[in-house]
Amino acid sequence: MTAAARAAIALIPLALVAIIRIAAAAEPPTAPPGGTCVECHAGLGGELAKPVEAFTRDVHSQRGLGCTACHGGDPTSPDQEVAMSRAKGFRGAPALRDVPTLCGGCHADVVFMKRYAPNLPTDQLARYVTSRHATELARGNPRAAVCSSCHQAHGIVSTRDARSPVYPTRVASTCARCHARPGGQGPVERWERSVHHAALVAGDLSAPTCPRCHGSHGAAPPGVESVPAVCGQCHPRNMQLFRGSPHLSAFEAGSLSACGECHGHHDILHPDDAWVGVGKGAVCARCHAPDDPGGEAAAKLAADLGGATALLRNAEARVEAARERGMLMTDAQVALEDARQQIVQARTLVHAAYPRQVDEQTRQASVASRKALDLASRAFGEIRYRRTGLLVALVVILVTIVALLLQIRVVDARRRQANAGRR
Amino acid sequence: MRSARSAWRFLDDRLRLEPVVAFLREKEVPRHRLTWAYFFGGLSLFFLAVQVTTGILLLLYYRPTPEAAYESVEFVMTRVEFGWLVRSVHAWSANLMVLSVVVHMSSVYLMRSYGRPRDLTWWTGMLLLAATLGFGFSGYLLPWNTLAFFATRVGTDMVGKVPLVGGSLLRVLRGGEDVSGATLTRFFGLHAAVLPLLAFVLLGLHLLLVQRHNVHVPPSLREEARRRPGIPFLPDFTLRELVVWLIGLALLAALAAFRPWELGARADPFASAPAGIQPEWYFLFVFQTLKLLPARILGVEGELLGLAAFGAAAVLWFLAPVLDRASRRGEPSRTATVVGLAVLLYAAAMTLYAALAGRRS
Amino acid sequence: MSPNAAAEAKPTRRAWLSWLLGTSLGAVALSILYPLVRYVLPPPSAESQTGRVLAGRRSELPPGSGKTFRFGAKPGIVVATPGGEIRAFSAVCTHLACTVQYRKDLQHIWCACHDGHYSLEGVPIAGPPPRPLERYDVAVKGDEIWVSRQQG
Repeated sequence: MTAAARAAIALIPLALVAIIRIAAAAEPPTAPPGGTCVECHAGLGGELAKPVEAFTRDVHSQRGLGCTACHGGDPTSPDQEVAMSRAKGFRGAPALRDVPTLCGGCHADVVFMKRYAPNLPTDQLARYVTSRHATELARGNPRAAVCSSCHQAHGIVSTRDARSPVYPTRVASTCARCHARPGGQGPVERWERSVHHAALVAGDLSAPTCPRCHGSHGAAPPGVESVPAVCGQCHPRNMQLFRGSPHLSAFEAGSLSACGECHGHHDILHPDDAWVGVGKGAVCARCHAPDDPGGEAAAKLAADLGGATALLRNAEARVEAARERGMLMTDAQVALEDARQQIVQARTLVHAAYPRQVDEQTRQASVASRKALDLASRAFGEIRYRRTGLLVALVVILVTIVALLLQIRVVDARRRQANAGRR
Repeated sequence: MRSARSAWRFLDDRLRLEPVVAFLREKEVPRHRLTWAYFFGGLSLFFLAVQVTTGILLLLYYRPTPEAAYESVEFVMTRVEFGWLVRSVHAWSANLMVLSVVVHMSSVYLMRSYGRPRDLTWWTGMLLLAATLGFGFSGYLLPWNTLAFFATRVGTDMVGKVPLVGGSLLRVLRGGEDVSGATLTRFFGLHAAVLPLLAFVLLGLHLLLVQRHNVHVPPSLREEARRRPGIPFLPDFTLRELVVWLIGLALLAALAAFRPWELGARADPFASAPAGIQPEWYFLFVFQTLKLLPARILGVEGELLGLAAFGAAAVLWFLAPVLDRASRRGEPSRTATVVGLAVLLYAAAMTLYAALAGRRS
Repeated sequence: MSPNAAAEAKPTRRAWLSWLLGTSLGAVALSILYPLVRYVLPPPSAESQTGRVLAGRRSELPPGSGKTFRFGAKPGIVVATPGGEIRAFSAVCTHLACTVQYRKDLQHIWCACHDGHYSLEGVPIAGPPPRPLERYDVAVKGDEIWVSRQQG
């Protein structure tokens, strides 16, 4: 029996309780926020007052749900004995293992949720049951994550609210509260070195954080067989090419993780052209010897990519040099952008592990690079032409100035002579 | 030779040029140790001629609409033969012209040559200076690039600070609430029609007055000028002026070849202003002063007070011939010299400071 | 040479000087006129590109297809919707600036780099793109599709 199934069975009685409770409550649990709960607790100070303060910004209180929705009791009675009596349904703080069903009591109820947020998914509990967190909860692990571990207990805000602990920019540190490991080798710390984290920091809120690959409510490590699909959510072309490549069957046979084998798991770095090939630092060399057919193909891929990239760099430098000398290089920049896009596509084609496609693509990139280079040389030719023209003009002007100065001398001398004569 | 002479006779018969030439031959430019300062008026005239020529040439390809302005300048710079030369010379010559005009004005002020009867010459000159700055300000926007767009927005914003009429004035200047295609059309009209016409009339008057009264010799140099023979205007002075013009021409050619004027990125009115926007260097001293002023001085907006002060200073500067009574009698005035030096030093220091601050940011 | 000597210079020398002066002034005039005349002669592509670009032809764009074209220094994309309407956008993906393309099977615009999807209104509908594609104005003149930046 799998862990998830065990957890599901353990949760069945809890789920039943919840369903019965909801069925019994003809009235939705909509006691007005506050009541005597707030009146007393606000005055108590310390830990007992904290929920009152947090609950004011809670999305549930803003929808009109009160303390009793989760805690039971009677908020109309000023008498503590009555308000917090079992007879009035008071439950106190729910036990850890009761939390998922308590929240799920409403959030898994499609009919109920329609009244508040018709479009909000209602499968969180169903997904949670399949998570590693639920397994641990069923095993009685006191540190197992439940709803409130990630969403907070009293200050719950929408996941689209930047204050939410599961907002894209904060979710990783929320996971890290449990998943950090000493020495910076925990999954979150490793992710923080990845290209995905860099993108997030750069302001791309769509950049993958923990839940993108692991699922949020159903959080669990993806199995080896589902890695390409998980990565393929955002990298569909790469996945498609990999699936058509000879690597697919070879990786499956060797139980290798499809994407992770070359790109890593959490610390997924920005790929480098040096990864391709059989040289130092090349990932292909982990399996291929330089002289086996795969190694030869890898070397060919590396040569193509390397050649095209070097040509592009060269063209970029020449165009930039011309631009720095004041030449307008719009046409060349268009060609360079074209070359860059072609090389991006060529790098993607590496996933097919099929040199001919990459060769064709890099050749197109190089055509564009060469066009830019040609435009740059023409610009330098133009610069030379301008300087030559300037030199000619300057010589002409200089000669004229000399002629003028000579003429001035002649005129001056004549004047002086005339003045002397007059005197 | 013979044909030249007969052409001359043809013109002289009809226009009676002989007295003019005789006048110019007779006229002498005084010779003293500051004679070089007399060349700057002529140099400014040369740059203006360059501006008119290259400006007309640019009109062949330029299109004054926000959709096409940038593209048409880019076209001139990349596709038209020697387009880079014409535009770079136009832009460089504009800057050198401002420089030359400012030197001309400073020397005239410091030699206190504005006294009666040359007060009218001074006033036409000051108006020509204003026209020159107007040329610079309006021309800066025409390529419709990012820098020009935002510099114009900041520059015109100042007009809006004027009490009471500021808002309307701003709308008239911009042709709307914000800098837009309407502003471009207006600035183009100003740059290529209104200001040239104005400058042409003023310049005619200015040159006529200069010929009429000849140049002024300050009292301290009068002895030297009396001792040394003057330079006959034709051909002696003209030949020398020609040398100066050729040096100006060489400078323009070299600047255009080695530092073609940049075009920058196409203006995007919806983009946020790039950091460190600065106006052209000749407005920097005003810009920097306003930036240094505190937000409020004695309950009045600091920038408004600063602008009022600059406005008042410009009026006083313009009225120098009236305020400086000694100049009318041709007597020296220490106050005028000290005030003038202080103003010029302030402007120079502020410009330098702003340029350094701009480079650092 | 003393000034007096210069003044008494032989007629031949004076003639030589005025020849030099005339010739060099003529050369200066020529070196100014030459570039100006070349400037006035219209270049081969006689008109500057305005914001308006010929993006393609109707005949090569049947309903439910698209193609990229050059718009200034950036790529643009012109699409014919399945209903036959022609629309044009910037082809620069708002996510990481890859060039987007029209996907016939999906009937919308797609970016291959990170699976970004845009509707035929240019609005992101799936994937990472944070903003819509910039929309351009389209004018169809006979068979020609002309694209220009949107006004205002």
